[in-house]
Amino acid sequence: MTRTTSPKLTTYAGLAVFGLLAAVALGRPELAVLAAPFALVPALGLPLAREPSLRAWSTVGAERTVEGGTVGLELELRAEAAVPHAEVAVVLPEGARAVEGPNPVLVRVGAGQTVSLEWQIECGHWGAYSLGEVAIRCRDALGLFVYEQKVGDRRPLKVYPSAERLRSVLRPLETQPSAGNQVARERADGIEFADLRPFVHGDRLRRVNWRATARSGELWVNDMHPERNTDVVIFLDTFVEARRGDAGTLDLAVRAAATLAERYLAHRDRVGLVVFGGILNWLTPATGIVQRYRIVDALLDAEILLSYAWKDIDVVPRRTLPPQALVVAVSPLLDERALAALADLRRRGFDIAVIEVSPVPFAPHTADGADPLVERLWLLRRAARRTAFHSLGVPVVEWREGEALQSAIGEVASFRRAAHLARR
Amino acid sequence: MLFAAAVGVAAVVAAGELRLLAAGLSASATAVLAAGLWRGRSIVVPWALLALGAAAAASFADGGDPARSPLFAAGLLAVGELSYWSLETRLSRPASGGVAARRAALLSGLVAGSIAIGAVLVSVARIDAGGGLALEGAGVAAAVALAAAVLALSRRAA
Repeated sequence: MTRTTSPKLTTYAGLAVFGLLAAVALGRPELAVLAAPFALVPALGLPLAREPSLRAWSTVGAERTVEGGTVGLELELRAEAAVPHAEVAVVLPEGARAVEGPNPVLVRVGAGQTVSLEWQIECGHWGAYSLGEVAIRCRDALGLFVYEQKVGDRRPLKVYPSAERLRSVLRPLETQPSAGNQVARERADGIEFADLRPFVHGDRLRRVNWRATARSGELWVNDMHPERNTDVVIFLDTFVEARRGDAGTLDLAVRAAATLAERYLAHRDRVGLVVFGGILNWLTPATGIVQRYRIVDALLDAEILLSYAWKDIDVVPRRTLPPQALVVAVSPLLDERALAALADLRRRGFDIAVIEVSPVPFAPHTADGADPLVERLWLLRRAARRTAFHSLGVPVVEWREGEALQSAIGEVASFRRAAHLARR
Repeated sequence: MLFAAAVGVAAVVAAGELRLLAAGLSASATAVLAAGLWRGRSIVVPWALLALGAAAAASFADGGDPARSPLFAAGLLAVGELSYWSLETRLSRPASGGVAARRAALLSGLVAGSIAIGAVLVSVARIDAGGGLALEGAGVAAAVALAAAVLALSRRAA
């Protein structure tokens, strides 16, 4: 516990000495009388001043929450000797605020007494927080000394990004051999009807289409589409972001990536993650609830780290990008390295869709004093980049804050349908 | 703030020919204190107390009744205590009403104690003990001893 002298002690001692000296110098006893109370307070308070013996335990209510959710924080204070004045403040990380319970709060802890305090902390932004530390500032009875200490263990708190509403997701063009929810293009055992074909030796009797057989006079069987799972790799571009105040393209990108991962995993697909930026991070595709937490935890660590080093797709481990996987890139399309990597992936035959987290709302506009010509050139350049991707057969859909992610996904799906028809 | 204004008004009323000086000192002290409390600056408190003390001293300079000095002293202490109380609890809210009640009781006790000590000092000052260099020296030594005692006690409390 650190101890400091309060301004009050300095003031009172100074005034008392000044008043007594002035009384002696001017021969006015009234000045000594005026100074006397200021001598009385230190004379009473200093012999009684003792360092408070406070013990504290803090408990954080949860280890995980979602953006905008609240977490309870409890603190128990116990004092051996009475502490007449203790200010208790929860040390809040950036982005968190106390929504219930005054912070700081002023309490008196009696001798041998335990005081319980409770706060509800709201985390307004996704990320990894540490919570549980509490700062205590005590004063002696007359407020001559200030004792400060920090108590409580800092506990990690993971705040997951809030999920966007998504009814359907983008389906990959190719499926994998394992069973899943996606209707495959190939024909095998399954539920979905595909076509009729003549009976061949080895076909099961239960697959005979008796109506077609009766009409044609020879055996016909039903062909079915099997249900398979798919591999999806979410490609998060973290080279640069556009930010204005508390909001930025990275926040939106992480939210979209977490939503997509959750939805694909709910469909029993294998989902992988590539965080491509100043720091490279990846997760090989897997399925299940554990993978969901792995992905979200990896997304929480995603940050923009300025780097001038050129990186291409070769730095990503090969097993992270399985063949026939759908790569859903979430990018503000601001950095050439990410664009080149995506184009390279496409040329290697990967099925790619790009959700462009629009940096336009976060960029300076003409109203902010930006040159309108510069703004127009920048927008035209962005349009050219989109066109270049379209010419590679990669759908690029702009997604802005406030818009439904579902509409962007729907737009990508319609682009893919049109591209498919054109190929035929 | 109200206490500071009250002490200032009392000093102006009690001051004779030095009324203007007392009024100027009181007004400036109150204004400085108000600004400091508004901005949360504790540095203004000693200067405000010094100015109010000077205004009170001005009221005694023109043949004022020294018997009123314990009341002025208690008023000055109340101004100081309330100002620091205001600054200390500027951001925090009390969890229960007991904290404020106890502090108010302590403040009342200090004010009452300072009036009692002031009264004793006034009656002691009325005793004619003569004068001379020895007594002046004793007074200076007492002031220096007070400063040394405060310093020693504050170090020991560490």
